[in-house]
Amino acid sequence: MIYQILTICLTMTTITIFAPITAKLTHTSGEVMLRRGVDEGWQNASSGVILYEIDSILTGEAGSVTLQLNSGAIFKLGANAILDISELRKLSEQEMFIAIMGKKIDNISPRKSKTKLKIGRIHVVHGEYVSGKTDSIKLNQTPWKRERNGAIALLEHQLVTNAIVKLNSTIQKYQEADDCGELYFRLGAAFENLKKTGQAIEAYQASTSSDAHKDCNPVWVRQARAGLSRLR
Amino acid sequence: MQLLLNSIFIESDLHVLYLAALMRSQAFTMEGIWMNRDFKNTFLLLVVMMTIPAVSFAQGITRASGFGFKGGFWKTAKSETLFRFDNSKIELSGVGAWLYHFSRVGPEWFYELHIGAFASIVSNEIEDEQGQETISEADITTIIPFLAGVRYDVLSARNYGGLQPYLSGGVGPYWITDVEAPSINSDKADVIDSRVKLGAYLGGGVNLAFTNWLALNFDLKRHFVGFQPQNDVSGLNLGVGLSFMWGQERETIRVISVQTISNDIYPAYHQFYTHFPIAIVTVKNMTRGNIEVNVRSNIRSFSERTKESGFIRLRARETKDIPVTVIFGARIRNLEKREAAILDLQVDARAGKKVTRKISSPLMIHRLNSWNGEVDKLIFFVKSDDETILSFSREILSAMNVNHENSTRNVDVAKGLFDAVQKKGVRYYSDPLIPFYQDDRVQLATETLRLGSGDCDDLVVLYASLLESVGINTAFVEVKDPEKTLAHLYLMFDTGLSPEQSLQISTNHKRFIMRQNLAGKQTTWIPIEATQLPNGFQEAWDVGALSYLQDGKLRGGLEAGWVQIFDVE
Repeated sequence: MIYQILTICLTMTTITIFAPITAKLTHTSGEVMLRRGVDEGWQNASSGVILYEIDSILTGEAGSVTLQLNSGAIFKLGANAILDISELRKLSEQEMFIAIMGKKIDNISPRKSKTKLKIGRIHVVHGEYVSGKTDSIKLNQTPWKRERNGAIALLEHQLVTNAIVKLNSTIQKYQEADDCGELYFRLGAAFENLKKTGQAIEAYQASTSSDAHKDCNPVWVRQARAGLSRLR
Repeated sequence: MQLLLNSIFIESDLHVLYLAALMRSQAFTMEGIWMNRDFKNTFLLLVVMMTIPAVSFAQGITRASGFGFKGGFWKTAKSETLFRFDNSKIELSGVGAWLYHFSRVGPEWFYELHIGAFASIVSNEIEDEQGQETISEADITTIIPFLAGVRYDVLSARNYGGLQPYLSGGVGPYWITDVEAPSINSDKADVIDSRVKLGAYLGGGVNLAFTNWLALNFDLKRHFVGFQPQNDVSGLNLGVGLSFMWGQERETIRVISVQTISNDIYPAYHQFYTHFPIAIVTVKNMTRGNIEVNVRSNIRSFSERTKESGFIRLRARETKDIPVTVIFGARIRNLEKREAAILDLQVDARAGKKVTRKISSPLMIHRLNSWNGEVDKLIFFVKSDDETILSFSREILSAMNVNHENSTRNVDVAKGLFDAVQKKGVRYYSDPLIPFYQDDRVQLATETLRLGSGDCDDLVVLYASLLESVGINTAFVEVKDPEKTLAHLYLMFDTGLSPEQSLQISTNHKRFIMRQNLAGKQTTWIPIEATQLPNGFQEAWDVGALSYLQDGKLRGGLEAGWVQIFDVE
C-alpha cells in the first residue's frame, strides 16, 4: 500500500514537473500575434485562444497580452515583446546553469579529430529570431529589444532563472546589438537577485566594458558600476 | 667409505699428474704462473670483456632447474703457486671438478648444491748425497666440499641466449684428507690425516647461455674452510664447465588478458576497425629491464595483411594495455552470410632476442548489410562516393541548373534531391520483423534507389549519401524516447547560412538549428524527417523541426541524452 502511494506520489510529481505548459489568452490589447509551433508565419491572436508549449507570442508597439497558465498563474506581457510559451516553465537554478553552460559549450569550436567515431554535440540554441515578411508588426526593428522586454516580463513575474536564460540567449544571439551595456546590466541584476554574486560581478563587468557609442545612455554602465561597488 | 672416496680421487688425480708429467717431458715450464703479471692481466681483461656485454645484454638462465659440472683450479693458502713444473719439483695447488645442481626459488634467486673433489699435490725429486739416486716424494691433499648455497642473478633475465653474471654464497662441510705417496707414479698412498671442517664460500661468475637448456659457466669462489681465510686449504677456486637446464622457462613477457571489444564484426564499417580496437591485449614485462612489445593481428582469411601495433616500450615490471586493430581485405565486402572467423594475435617482445606469444580468439563476421543498431556506426553506410549515387545527384543538379553562388544553394539542392527521390517513387516501409538474435539490415543508398523503398534508416542513409555526394554536410539525429519502445532516426543538413542569413529560409527560429562547424563558424542546419518522402520537402522539414523542438528541447531529450546528434564525416 505504501509503495502504491509512493508510486502515485512520484508519478504525480513527475507529471507536475514535466507537465506541458498551456496558456490561455485572457486579454489582448493592441497588436498581438501568435505563431504555432514551427509554422512559418504569425497570425493574429485573440482572447480565448489556447497556446501550447511549442507556440510563441508577440506584441507590437502598443500591444499587450494577459495569459492564464494551466497552473492558474497569470502572466502579463507588455508592448514590443516576444516570448515562447516554453519560456514560462519555471526553471530551477540547476536547469538555468545547464542552459547557460550549454550555450557556452556551443561557442567552443569542436576539436579537430582524426577519429571516425564522433558524438554529435548537443545544441540548445535554436537559431536566430528574424523578422517576418508578411506580418503586420515590423519585427526587424531592434529584435533584441523584444527579447529584452520578454525577459523583463519574466523578471516581473519572479521567473528570474527563466529571465537569466533568456537574457543570456539574447546576448549570444545579438552580439552586435547597440544596447549600451543594458543586457549585461540586466543579467547582472538578475544574478544579484538570485544572490549569485560571482556571476553578477562578471555580468556587471561585461556591462561596464561594453562598446558604448557616444549616443549611448550611460545609465546602464553607471548602474553596473554601482552594482560592482555594492557587491565588492 | 673414506678409503673408497680417497682411492677414487687419488685415481682421478693421477690423470692430472700424468698431464703434468707430459708437460714436464716437453720441457714446459710455468714458473709461478698464477703470479705471472701477463697472465693476470689477460685474465682480468677477459673478465672485463665478459662483464661489459653481460651488463648490456643480460639474458640469463631461463629455466627453473639444472645441473652442471665444471673443472677448475683451487689455489689454497698454503700453496705458493697455482702450479709449477720444473726439473725437480711439481707443485699443483689444486685441480679437480664440481658437480652441482641449482633450482629457482625467486625471480633472480636460485639455491645451489655443490659436491666437488680437488687434489693439491707437491712432488719433489731429490738427489741423494752422492748424486747417484733420485728420491721422490709426493704430498697430496684432497678436498671434498659438500656445499649448499644461494645464487643471485645480478641482471634480470630477458631471454635465453646471452650472458648472466651472478653472485653466490653458501656453507657446508669440507672433507680434507692428506695423503703421502713415495712418488707421483706410485699407486701406494698413506693417509696421514683426515678431517672434516665446516666452511663457507663467497663468489660469483657468469653464465653464457647458448640455448635455453645449455650454458657455459665461469665461476670464481673464495672458500673459507673452518671460516678462516688463512686456513691451509682456504683459497680461490676458478672453474669452467657446462650447465644443463630444464623446467619452466623464465618469462620475459606475460599476456595477462585478451579482452575482445568487438566480437561481432560488421563489414559495412570494416574501415572502422583499422582505427578502433577490436581487442585489448594486456601485457606485463616480467623482467627488471625495459623491453619493447609489438602486437601483430590478423583475422584468418579476412585480413588483407597483418596489422602491427608498433613496438611499445614497457618499463621493468610494467603492465600495459595494447589496443588491437585489424585491416580487412576485399573478401569482407562480399560476404552474403555471416561467418565465424579467428583473430590471431602474436605478441612479440624484443629484449635482445625475440620472444613470441600467440593467442587466438573467435569472432563473428556479419553480412554486408548488417547493422548493430548503433547510430554512430550507421554513418559508415553513407557512401557519398558511390558511382550510382554520384551520377544520380549530379544528374539532378544539372537538371536544376543551380546557381552555386546563391547563399541558399544548399537548401535548393537539398530540396531538389528530395523531390527527385520522391519523384522516383521511393517509399517508406517500416522495418521487417527481425528476430532478436539477428541484426538490423540497412540498405546501402544504391539498393534503396534500386528497390524503391526502405525503412527509416535506409531512407536516412539514402538522403545523407545524396547530400554528402554534392558536398552538403549531414548529421543523424537519433531519438531514443524513454516513453517509446522503438528508437527513431532522422537527419539534418548544413545550409551553410550564417545566423543572420537564416532569415532567407525561415522567419521561425524553431525551424532550424544553429551549429558550430570545425572552422568555429555558426551555421544553420535544417532537420529533415526522411520518412515524409511522399509528402514533400516542406512537410519533411516541418516534421523534423517539430520533432527536434519537442523531443530535443521541450522534453529535454538533448540534455538527458536520449536525443543525440551524430555527424556524418
